[in-house]
This record gives sequence, C-alpha cells and structure tokens, in this order.
Amino acid sequence: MTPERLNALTDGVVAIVLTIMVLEVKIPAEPTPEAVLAVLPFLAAYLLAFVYVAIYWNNHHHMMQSAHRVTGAVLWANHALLFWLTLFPLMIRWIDEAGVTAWPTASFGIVLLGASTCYVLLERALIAAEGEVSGVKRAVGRGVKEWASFAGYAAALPLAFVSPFLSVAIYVAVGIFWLVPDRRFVKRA
Amino acid sequence: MKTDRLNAFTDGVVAIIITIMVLELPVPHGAGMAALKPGLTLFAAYALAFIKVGIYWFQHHHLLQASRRVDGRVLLANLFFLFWLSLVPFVVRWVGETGITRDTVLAFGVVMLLCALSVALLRSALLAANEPDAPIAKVAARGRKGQITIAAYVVAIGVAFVWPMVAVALYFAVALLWIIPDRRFEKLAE
Repeated sequence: MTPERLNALTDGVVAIVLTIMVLEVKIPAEPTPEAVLAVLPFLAAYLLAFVYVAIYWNNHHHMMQSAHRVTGAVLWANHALLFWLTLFPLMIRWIDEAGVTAWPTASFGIVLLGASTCYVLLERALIAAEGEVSGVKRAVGRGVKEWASFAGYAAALPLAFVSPFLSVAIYVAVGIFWLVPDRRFVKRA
Repeated sequence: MKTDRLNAFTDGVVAIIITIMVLELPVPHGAGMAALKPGLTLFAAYALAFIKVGIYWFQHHHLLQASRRVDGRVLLANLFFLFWLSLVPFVVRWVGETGITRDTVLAFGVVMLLCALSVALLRSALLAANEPDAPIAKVAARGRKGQITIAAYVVAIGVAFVWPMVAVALYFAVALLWIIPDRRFEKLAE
C-alpha cells in the first residue's frame, strides 16, 4: 500500500487542528494597551502550539518523502499521532482558562510526550515496512534528536510543579531544536 | 471513473469528523487535576470514537487501494457510508451531555452497525464496478471479521437495553478485533 491517502488524511487533520486553535484567540476587550496585554499570554501559548503542530507536519512531510510502503502498523502509529495533535487546541484552552500553572503546563508536556512517542513509533513502523532498503532507516539512524526531545519533555513534567515557566522554557528550547526541518531527509532528497 | 476524487473527498470528510469531536471536549475549569474529572467520560468516548473512525478509514483505504474504478453506485454507497460516519461526533456530543446511559450507548451501537453495514455495501458496489481480475476481486471476499463485527453490534444494541456497560465493553472488543487490519490487502501491494 502506498502512503498518498495517509498523507491526505494527515494534512486534513493538521489543517483543521491549526484552524480550530485560532478560533480560541480572543480579541482585546477594549482598545487599550492593558486589554492587549491581557490577551498576550494566550497569544504566546497559541504561537507555541502552532509552531509545535507545524514542526510535526514539516517532519511528517519530510519523512514521508522517503517512505514508499505503508502497513497496518504505520496506519495505527499515524492515527495515534493525529490523536495527540488534536489535543493541542484543548491544552491551550486550558492554559487560557487557568493560566501558566502546574497542571495545565504539565499536561501540555504530556501531549508533547505522547505526540513525540507516536512520531517515533511511526518512524519505526515505516522502517519495519521496508526493511533494509528503507530510506527512512538510513535517514533516521539512531534517532539522537528524538531521544534528546524525550529527555527534555520528561524533565519538564516534574519541573512544572516547581516552576511552570521552567517547563515552558524547555518546550520552547526543544521547539527551536526542531525548527530546522529534519536535515537528514533533506539531504536524501 | 478513477478513484482519486472519491478518496480525496472521503479523506476531507473523515479529517473533519475526527477533529470536530475535539471541540466537544470541555475546557477544565480551574488549575488543579480535579478540574479534569468532569470531562473524563467524554474524553474516553472521544478516544473510542477516534479509534472507531480510524478503523473505518483504514477499511475504506484498503478497499479503495485494491480498486481501479468507481461508478455511480460506488459514489452513492460511499456517501451513505460517510453519512453514518458523520453521526459519530453527534453521539459523542450526546455522551458529553448525558453521560453513558441506555440511550447514548444504544445510539452509538446503531451508528456503528450502520457504518459496518455501509462498508459491506461499499465493498459489493466496488466488486461490481471492477473487472473480475481486479485486485479487489481477489481479496474482498466476505471476511469473517466483518461478519463478527455486524453480529457484535446487533448483540450490543440488544444488551444496551439492560446493561449499557456490557455494550460498551463489546464496542471496545470489536475495536480490538480490528487492531490488526486486514492482512490480505497488505500482501496485495507486494
């Protein structure tokens, strides 16, 4: 089976996830600097979530360029990744409601951890589908970048109960780390 | 007619179905973990519905991958399938409103049964539209899994009148049955 339709469904879901997040953005209540300041924290959370979803889409796009065969395991891993991505809008709504506090910030980290775990499972499933000839396998190698991100999120979860802003700093740092799309695949193309 | 646009249309509808469900999830009120509790039932319903829609999309993906042509009957069968699938977010919303009750469990079972029946209808329409030597003719002979699924939903609908939670367990059991998608289609691509 070829990956075209898997890509089409993923693009559809990611496009909608990005768009429903923007529905949550509130307009400043009054034309005053104070009112604008009041919506800034939510805008920052929106920006972070938007960048993260975009990173997942970019990397998915890059990886699928090297994939030629999908199996049942690939479909499931991808579907699980989509599940976690759909939770981003909910997480930023909670942060909007409760502020940058321990539980919402830690939950954001759980969603990041879930999405990155499924992304790695998708990598493994794509490699297993094609075996030794897999282009994904040659590009991913040992997956150092993935493990470093896991470590970052795992550290951020307990830190949210010490200072949520420390966790946010880790999320931003890991995001920047991935902002450059996966060069391993660009080189192969 | 080729299969491309039918696939693109279906993918669009399915993507919207699985994403609008997330809008139904309640935003926790408050900062603590206790704020999550009121939404847990709905969250579980969301997760189950997400898996079910995924399974139906996998089946659609498999059937169409093995087909070369579609005709008017296939388009109609596909629309019929999408109609029932589009009711899944509605039932999830209902679960959010009233919780796991006889009526919501029953409604979920009816929607699932009609999704399963419409996939069977789609399969026979595709078989009729494709030549006897097309790949679908080799792999789409009536599968036992599909029959078990339909039977399980019929039983679940009956059981829901007395023990709704048993019906919910049956819904999960059917999902487990489909964890390994139809292998015949995978082999076909090789």
